[in-house]
Amino acid sequence: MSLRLRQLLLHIRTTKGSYGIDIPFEDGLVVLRAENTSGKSTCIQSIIYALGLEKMLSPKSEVPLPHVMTSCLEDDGEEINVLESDVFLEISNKEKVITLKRVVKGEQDTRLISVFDGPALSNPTGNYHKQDFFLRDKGSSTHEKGFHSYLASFLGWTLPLVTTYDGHEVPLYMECIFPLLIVEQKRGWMGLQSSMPTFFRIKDVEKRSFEFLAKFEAYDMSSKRQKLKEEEDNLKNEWKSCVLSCNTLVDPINGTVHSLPVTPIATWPPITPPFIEVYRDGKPFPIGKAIKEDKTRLSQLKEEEIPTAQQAAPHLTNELEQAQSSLEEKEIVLRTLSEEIDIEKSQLQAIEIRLNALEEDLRRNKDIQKIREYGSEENLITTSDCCPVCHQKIVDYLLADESFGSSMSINDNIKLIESQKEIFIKMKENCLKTIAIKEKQLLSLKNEVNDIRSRIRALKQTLVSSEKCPSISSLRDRILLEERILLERNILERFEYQIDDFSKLASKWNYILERKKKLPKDTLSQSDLNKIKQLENLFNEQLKIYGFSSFSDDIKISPDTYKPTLEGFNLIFDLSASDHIRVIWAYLNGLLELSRECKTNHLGMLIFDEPRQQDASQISYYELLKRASKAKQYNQQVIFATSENKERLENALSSIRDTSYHDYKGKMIKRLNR
Amino acid sequence: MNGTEIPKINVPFSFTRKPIPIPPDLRTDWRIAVLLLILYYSRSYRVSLKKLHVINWAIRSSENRELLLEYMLNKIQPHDVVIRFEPGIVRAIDFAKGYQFIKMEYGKPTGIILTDKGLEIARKIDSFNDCFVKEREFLRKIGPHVLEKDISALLNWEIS
Repeated sequence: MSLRLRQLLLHIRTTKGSYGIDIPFEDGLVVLRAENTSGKSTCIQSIIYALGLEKMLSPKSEVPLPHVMTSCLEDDGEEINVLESDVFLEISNKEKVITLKRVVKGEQDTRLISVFDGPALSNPTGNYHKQDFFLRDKGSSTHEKGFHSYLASFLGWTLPLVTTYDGHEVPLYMECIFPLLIVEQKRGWMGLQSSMPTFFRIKDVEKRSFEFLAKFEAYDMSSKRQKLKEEEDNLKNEWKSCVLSCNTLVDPINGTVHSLPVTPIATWPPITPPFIEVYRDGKPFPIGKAIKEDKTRLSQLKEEEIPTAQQAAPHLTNELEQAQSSLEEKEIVLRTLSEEIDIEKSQLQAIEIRLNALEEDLRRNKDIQKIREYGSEENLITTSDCCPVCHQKIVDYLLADESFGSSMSINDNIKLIESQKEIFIKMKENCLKTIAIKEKQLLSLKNEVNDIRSRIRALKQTLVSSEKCPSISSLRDRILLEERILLERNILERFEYQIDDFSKLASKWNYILERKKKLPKDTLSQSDLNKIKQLENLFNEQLKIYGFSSFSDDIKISPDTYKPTLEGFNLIFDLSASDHIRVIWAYLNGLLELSRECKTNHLGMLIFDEPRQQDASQISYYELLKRASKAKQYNQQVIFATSENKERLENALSSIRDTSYHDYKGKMIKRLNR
Repeated sequence: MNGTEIPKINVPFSFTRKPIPIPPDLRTDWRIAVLLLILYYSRSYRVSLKKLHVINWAIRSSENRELLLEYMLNKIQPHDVVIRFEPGIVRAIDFAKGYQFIKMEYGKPTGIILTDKGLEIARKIDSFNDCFVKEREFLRKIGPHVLEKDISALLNWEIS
């Protein structure tokens, strides 16, 4: 995890030739000095822009760079129009150097960032492979051609998933992490992480980005929890589909599956193992028993010799009568059953109509609620308690009858409708269930009726056939019975095979539950707390050296917010302007120093664009810079842009080792010779 | 005491009036917002009273919305439709006038028109993407098809 800036090039093509600036960056502390309004912030903003992080500067979609890059620049009092401009930034991750190029103004889409596979600025003669990545569109952080997903892998970051306020999962966007690494002038000094973009609507985004950068185990924990949740969902789905396939399996024999848990359970088999029920004469039977009975009956039939028609005749007439009467009975039952189904269906329809009406009412009530909410925000008074003309108290509905009594408030009304809706949804579920059961019964009854009919046919056929012929009806009985036994046994076998899958799923489920139990509940681990403690020490140590004067007590870093607090209050709110700057510097530098001792996701780089002059005038930067210059020993990089008095700064720097110093006279952006 | 007699209740008791639920389309703000939307989606932010009554009748239920849409698109006179002139809308017009969102325009036909203030509010309401979704969809669909002539035909039961 590492990022070093190597070189920045702003290139502006104008009607009067090329302008721009070329700044090399060394390791360790790099100080850029130039007078005010000479273009320091333009450079820092360009770095942010080249990294595709401009959402830190402004949520708008325009290029957030000063007009010198976008419209016109001044040279010797002459205004020169900008035709095209680009930002080049050479960066390394210690192993590899790449160069980013992004158009500020020009033909090319500003949402593209070109990446050259090598040090295209410091060694322009090389031949580098170029690749384009897109930015800002959805998926910049997830798509393989998205610049931020490329940059993340270049930096060695795996962007974690975080939840938004609307419950979606998004990657922790880079724009949310970099406020801990880059302090730009506009908003950066207003507070810690103050240039955090909020429009991504990520929950607790400041905490999440801190946790990520400091590589908290709490963070890992929550991602573990996340993964577990995914596994859980997958398993639930698998379970569901298994249940479904069991249910479809028994369809050909009109069976139903009983005591099969629809949601995963940890111990298999359940106390009452699942079994199939089939219908015999309209009554449910467990399938094992049914098959057994069928078998005994079959063997009985087999023992008997197949009678000839003549032998069977008296017996058959009897049977025919029985069959006919049972057919009549069954047909009546069938009729009533289908009538019942019709009634249920019309009931269902009525429920659905009612549900739709409730839904519409609910939607409207919610619209009112929203309109009232927005109304108070946007100052759009649609109603108030009093009449707009005579200013007397009025009710908030349009009925004339004043004796109507008190009306329900919108919130209560919504609750009422929601509870009604719940009841109707339950009723609908019940209704659907009843219909499903009855339709199954109907189907099996129909089959039975068909059976009886063909039986009657067979009986009749036997009765009218020649006397010597074997009885068709008893033959038929035998064959049918055999077939049924075969089919049911087959299905039972497949069902048992299918059921085996559940025991595998159950043990997986058990494993998930166990791991879930082991995860601690959203607390920081010991090593996280140590990191906070260490940051706290580094922070207080620096404040002392920097001459922090607002309080003398030690300041705590809160384990809840990870921000400096004093006696439970967020520190940043009541500080003098110069102490404010010291706090931000000490905190961010503390994080950088923390990464020297602990494993973190810190990139080992910090950029400060000096605060506006009035705030900074009372600060002596000597101690701050001296502390920051330690970066060199650890191969880290701190870039500081300032307009501090030249003599004073050079004096201070003369006694600080390991520092690169660039001083610019006049405007930083000048005519280029290349 | 025979079976039909109600036994005396020999304890002190009292009634508490419970608040009564109000159908959302009878809420003043809902109606005014919809009224503004109707005007906002009408040509030059103006609508005749006749037309307003018809649209107001239709917009409040999904069946009526479909009926009116069907009629406007196919010009087939429905036989069993009674368009209700509902007093609520009249009261809503009064309120909207009171807030100076709309003003009357007398003439032939008499109607109402959005004021600048009303237009601004209507625009804002229209910009809330998650509000009045069905209503706006209906107004957008019906917008180009509602002719004064057809409205008269619908109200007078003229058989074309």
